[in-house]
Amino acid sequence: MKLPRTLTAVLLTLIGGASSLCAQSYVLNNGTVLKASEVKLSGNALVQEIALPGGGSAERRYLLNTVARLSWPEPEEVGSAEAELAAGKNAEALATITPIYRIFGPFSKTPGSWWTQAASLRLQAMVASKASSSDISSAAREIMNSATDPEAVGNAKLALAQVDAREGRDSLASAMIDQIVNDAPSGVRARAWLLRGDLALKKQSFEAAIEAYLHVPAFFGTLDELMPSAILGSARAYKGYGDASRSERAYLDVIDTYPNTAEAQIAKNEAGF
Amino acid sequence: MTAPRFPDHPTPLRKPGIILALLLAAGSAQAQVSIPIPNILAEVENYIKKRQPADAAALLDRVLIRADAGEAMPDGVDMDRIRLAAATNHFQTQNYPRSVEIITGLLAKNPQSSALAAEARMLMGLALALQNKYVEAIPVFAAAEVSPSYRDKAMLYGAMSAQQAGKIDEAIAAYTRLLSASPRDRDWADAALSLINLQLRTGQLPDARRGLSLLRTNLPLVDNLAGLNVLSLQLGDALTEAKDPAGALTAYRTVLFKKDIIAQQSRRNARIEADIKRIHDMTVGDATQMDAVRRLNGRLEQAKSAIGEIEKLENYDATLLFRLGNAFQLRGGAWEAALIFEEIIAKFPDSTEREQAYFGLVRAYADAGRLEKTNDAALRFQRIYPNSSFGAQALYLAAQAAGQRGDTAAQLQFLSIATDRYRDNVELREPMLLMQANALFSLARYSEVTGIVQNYLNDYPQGKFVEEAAYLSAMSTLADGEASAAAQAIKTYLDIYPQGKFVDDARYRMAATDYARQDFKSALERTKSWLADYPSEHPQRGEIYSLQGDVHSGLNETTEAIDSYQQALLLPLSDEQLGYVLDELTRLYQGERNSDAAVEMWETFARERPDHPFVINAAYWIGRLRSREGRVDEALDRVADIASRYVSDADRDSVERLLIEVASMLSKPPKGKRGEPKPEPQTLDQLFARVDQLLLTPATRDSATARARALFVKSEIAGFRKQPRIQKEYLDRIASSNAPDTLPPGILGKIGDHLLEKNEIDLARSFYTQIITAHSKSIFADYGYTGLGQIALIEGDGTEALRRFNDAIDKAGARFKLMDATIGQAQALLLLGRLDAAQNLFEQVASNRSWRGPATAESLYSLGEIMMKRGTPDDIAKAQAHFQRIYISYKRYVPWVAKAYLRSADAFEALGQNQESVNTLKEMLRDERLTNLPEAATARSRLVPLEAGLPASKGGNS
Repeated sequence: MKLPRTLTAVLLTLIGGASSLCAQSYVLNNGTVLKASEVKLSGNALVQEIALPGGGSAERRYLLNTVARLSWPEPEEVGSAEAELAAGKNAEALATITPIYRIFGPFSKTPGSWWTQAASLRLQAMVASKASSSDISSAAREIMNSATDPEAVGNAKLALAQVDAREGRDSLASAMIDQIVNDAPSGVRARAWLLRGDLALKKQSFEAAIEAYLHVPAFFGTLDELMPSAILGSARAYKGYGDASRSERAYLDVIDTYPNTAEAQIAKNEAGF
Repeated sequence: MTAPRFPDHPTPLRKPGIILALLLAAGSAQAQVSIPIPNILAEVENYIKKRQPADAAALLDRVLIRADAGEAMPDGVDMDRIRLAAATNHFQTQNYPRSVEIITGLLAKNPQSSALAAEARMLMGLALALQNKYVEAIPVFAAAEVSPSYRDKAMLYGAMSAQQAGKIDEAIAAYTRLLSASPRDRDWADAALSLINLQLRTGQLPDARRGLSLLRTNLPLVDNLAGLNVLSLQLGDALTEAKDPAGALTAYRTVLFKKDIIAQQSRRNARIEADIKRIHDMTVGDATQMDAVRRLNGRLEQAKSAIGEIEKLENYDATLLFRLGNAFQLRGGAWEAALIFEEIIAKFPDSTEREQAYFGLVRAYADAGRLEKTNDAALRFQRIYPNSSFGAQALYLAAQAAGQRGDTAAQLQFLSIATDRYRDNVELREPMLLMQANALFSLARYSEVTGIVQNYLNDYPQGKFVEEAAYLSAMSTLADGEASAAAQAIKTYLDIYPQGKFVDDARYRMAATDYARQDFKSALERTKSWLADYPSEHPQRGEIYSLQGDVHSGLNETTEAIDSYQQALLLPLSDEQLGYVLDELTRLYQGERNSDAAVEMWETFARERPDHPFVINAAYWIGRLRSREGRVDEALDRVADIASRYVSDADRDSVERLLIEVASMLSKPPKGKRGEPKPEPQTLDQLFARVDQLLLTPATRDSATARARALFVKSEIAGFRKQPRIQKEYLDRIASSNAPDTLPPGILGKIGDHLLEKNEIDLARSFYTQIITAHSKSIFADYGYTGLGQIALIEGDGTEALRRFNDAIDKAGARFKLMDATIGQAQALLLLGRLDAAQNLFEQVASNRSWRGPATAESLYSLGEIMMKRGTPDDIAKAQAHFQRIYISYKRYVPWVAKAYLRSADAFEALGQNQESVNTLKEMLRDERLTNLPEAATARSRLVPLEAGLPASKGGNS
């Protein structure tokens, strides 16, 4: 059986560096270590081709459910996709990470697999590139079903809440946010507070919006990347609440402290500076 | 932070095999008397390979002795390298003195290879440092810095040596050089941590703060997050102490909560351990890599130690949160502080910080101007910690906040609790008593002010505020209308405090009391002497001239009065005083039949202060004065000229008042001349064309706001001309052709009410929302809050409705919608089942003479409903009385009359008075105005069973 072209290409990429070649391996239940370069994925098995002494060859099959863990360095695509997402190149990030997500698909729950990271990045890229709600929902649910990493599961829940909010199902979104702020890791909780702020602002519940946005600087002070959104949100909510001076101060805070962000530009426009 | 650790092996050793290959050249023939040098060197290589540095060092020493004794070395043997190899092997056996001795000899010979010299210096520096000879090590590392290969490590070890030697400034300088020159990696982050630690210890807080900010942006590089946490806490505390709350906040915000720091540090420890393992697996025996392992191990040990300390601290999160909350509070982040203090209270019920968190919470809510929350927090605090030492302060703050928000009732409530419960807190009781007196003064409860002040003076005869109390007492008497007593009190004050804080004001008030007692002569003398005694820049000077104008007016000296008022106008005055003086001058000019002077005054004002809100008053008066003279067209032109300056500006909300005046002037029928037939009033079309001509000039006609205002004037004209259909049509046109964000708040409010009346709730909501979001400080803001409250009532959301109506009164001042907002509050409370509070408000509305009308009928009806809900016979009888009052005293309000009849019948029936019930329904049906209302049909259907159940003799009673 031939491997799909993308899979082959990525496998070649993965095994491209001599230094990492030996590190890419499958460790079976019985302790056997199979180098990735010496096996191919075929259906529900890894297939190893064995040269016979008298010429010719034979295949040895190892069922996937006998793979106990993967010994695999981080694929370059993970870092690349993260960088692309950070730079706002969402479509590129999606294209970069999707092959990795597929390659590790059969090993979604296997220790050492990079599936969870890839699936999470893929989901983030889908949300950021405003993919269809149904695509985002199914990607999120897949992570919730397959991943055990609380960060990944939390992010998937948050994506579902974002989809609900986008579709105007505010009460569903709020219910999901309640879950997240109670039990998710801190980074996800902080983003959930941002979404809660957005929902409250949409409903003109300005006091609730201020409190939601300000949860981020108050309790998640190390998450610098979320501060511009949180402070900008609070500036808008203060304005609606009728506290013009705090609103202006928050706008200035975004502009002065995070001058190179998109939020700073928005703040300048909204505040009329 | 633990002390830096030096590697106890040389950092940059080349592989021994390579060194010896260089050492060994062609053999020599000196082996007759001793072992040939090449053989020894071969043996040395053998020992090194077998990791026996002591044996290698001994052999190399023998070579050095022979060389120093003058024995010629074989060709190709590099003695500098032999010495370095000897020093290295001694170093490895921890014979540091010998290592230093050999390198000292080597460097004294000025080796030709600068790389070898640098390598030797590094080794020597380490050997000295490991003997705790840090002072000697410093210059050695400094000399090694010239080597590009060893520069970073030389700087690092130099800094560490300086630190160990107690030469902190040198260490800081070395770390600073290192951080600015070396690549940003995990070593860099580690060095940055050391630098911040030193800066913190030496009080260089701004530098430490900058360093921490830099590390914050490079957090992934920090291996020892736990150490960073500890440093950040220390820095935050130091900056708080140094009154730098912004810096403290930056520091505290770097600190992770316990769960997060343990999780993240565990991951980093695993990363460090994996790195160590990887290096072990990949490179066996490479000295450079082993040095890296050594440093990683050191870092791991520090991180584990720090995390161990954190794990031991049960109160870690509560302490961190309290620091954060305090820092936010001090930096003006009252909202964030409140969130944090609430978190401490909710999540750490047993923490020692909880009590102070409550105090912080009251303070935070007060600072944020969140009055209800302040009240609530203060009451919770009192309930949970009734004897807290912070209780008095919290109540004092809550009272201050309530005072700032104008909620004097709440302010007095807090002060009353505080002065009663904390009688012994002298420090706060004094200012609280004075605050209490001030609050009562603002409520015009002057006799109570006098009582409080008297208590204060009795309790604190030497108190801090004795002078203030005496003066407040005098002012209270004056405000109470007792001019003679006030004059006496002020005189007493002036006698006791001839140089007092309030002497200038007291002398002014003396003149005012004379004026109040119509002793105009004395008042005039006092104003003159005041003006002579105080400098021209005294802020009360305008006020004195204004009083002098009043005095002259009282003496019927109009010319002098005008002169004094004009003097006042040239000086700073509050808006209230300015308005008074302008109005008085207008009145005097009118009395003198000198409209031109009045118009000139207002024209000058409008020209010189074009942005002052009273420019609209100017237009109003100019229009009115000219209009009275019959110069309506001139008046309209002038008013329109001023109005058109602001007609495009949606934020200039007082324009609407002027536009209503324009509509009024236009709507009035023209006055006829004697002997001539009365002229025909202009048609609406003609008036509307005039509106366009007046308001939509070339400069304004492209403005959506100006066009909407023109439509608004037309709708008002239709209203004045009793054409409600056309009036509503124009309101609809404004609503359909303008986005809310182009409309001024006055029009937004009118349109919102119009749409709500038409039951177009979502559209009305958007107009009301625009008012409170874009024009929250407008005089029309109460339209927005009240409208949103009414929508919430329609939607059955009592909590939201109450909040909105409260905002209409508390935030917007309810200039136009006080009655609606008050009824709304009552309705919301009724909806929430808070019957007592609802009853209280409905009673206020029902008893307010100026609101007499449908609001009274509605309030009486609602009071009846409240009584019915309570359901005792006594309550039902009271309900019946309320309903009856409507159909007897408020017959004009037909919808309420119909409802009241029905409920009155219900009340009678509930009381078992079925005959009265029947009589009531029959009386209702006799009122022809009600015949076609649905309530009449209900009455008819109710009568049948009621009458059927009655004794035959009473059934026909009418």
